[in-house]
Amino acid sequence: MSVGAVVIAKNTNGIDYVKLARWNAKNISRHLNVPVTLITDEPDDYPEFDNVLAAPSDSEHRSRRQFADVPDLVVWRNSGRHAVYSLSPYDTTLLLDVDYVVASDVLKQVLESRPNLSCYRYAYDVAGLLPHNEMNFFGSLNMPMYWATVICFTKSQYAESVFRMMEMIEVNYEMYATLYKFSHRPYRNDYALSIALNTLNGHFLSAVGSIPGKIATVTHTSLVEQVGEDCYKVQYDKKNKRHELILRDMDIHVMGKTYLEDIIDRS
Amino acid sequence: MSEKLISLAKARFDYESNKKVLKEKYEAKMTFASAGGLWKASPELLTTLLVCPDDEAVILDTYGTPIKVNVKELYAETQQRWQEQMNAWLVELNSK
Repeated sequence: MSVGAVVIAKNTNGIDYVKLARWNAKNISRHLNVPVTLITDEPDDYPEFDNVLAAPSDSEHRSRRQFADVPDLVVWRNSGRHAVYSLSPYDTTLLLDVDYVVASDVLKQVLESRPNLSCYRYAYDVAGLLPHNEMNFFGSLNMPMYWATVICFTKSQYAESVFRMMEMIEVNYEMYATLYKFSHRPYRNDYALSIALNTLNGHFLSAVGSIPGKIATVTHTSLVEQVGEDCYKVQYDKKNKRHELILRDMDIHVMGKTYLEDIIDRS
Repeated sequence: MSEKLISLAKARFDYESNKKVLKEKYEAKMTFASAGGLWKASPELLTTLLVCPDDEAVILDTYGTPIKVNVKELYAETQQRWQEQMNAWLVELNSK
């Protein structure tokens, strides 16, 4: 049984996702000791990866989004994630967003358990500024959110069904947005995954097996810098005062991509 | 620029958030794979394994899947991971 990680990187006008992916691939290899495949629309001979595959073309859901750490609207190219199921060269795949910084071996345990498909159910803001419900439920129906940031799957009938359902949701996104009462722009993989899992588990909200633990999230409004190997300082304003935290040897989801670019440029 | 630097230098350590982050961090590190299942080292799992009378037992892993396990082996793995991570948690909490 082959095991490996896959990251998707499609550059936009504002963010060099391939650069982020190359940096993160080194972290993934160092902590998880698995081969890493890049799926990108700018394939090249990147030494950090064991495989580089061409990404399928974008669907109509190529949208723009405002991030707090970027002055202008940036193009958000997050469609087509369902294609990873057929593109991945591994029997068991860890699919990671490029802004998910691997700084521990926690996900190695998840990979070793070879789940049919598993992802995180909960995320939290390390600064404690973003409310729990805002991060973990979506739409006016308060649907439970399953995060597409980290998905571990083994090629199986169940995993294939989930990705096929995600494709169907992406193609008919406006209809699903109306049905589940959330905004149809921008397209969110998290929402598509959540709806797919909920549907395939018989609409029982508690029936989905998820990765234990929560995603430690550094939101766009928090400044993050690297202060050592696998050690990051996060600064943010709380009650009109500047606060800071040190995050050491733990995986973090850094939403402010420009801060990650700065970290890479300085490393 | 100098005002920004002063502001950054005056940043105060957030003990409240740090405590919560450490709890989430070490709870995640309690997770381990064994016998084809995924487990969370915890007093609950240790107690469950302690009350299993036979060498083998079928118990639910964190995915809710029934797994046949060797009770003594899983107990030893669980206790080791739980103790290691609790010790590390204490050390990191006290280092701030």
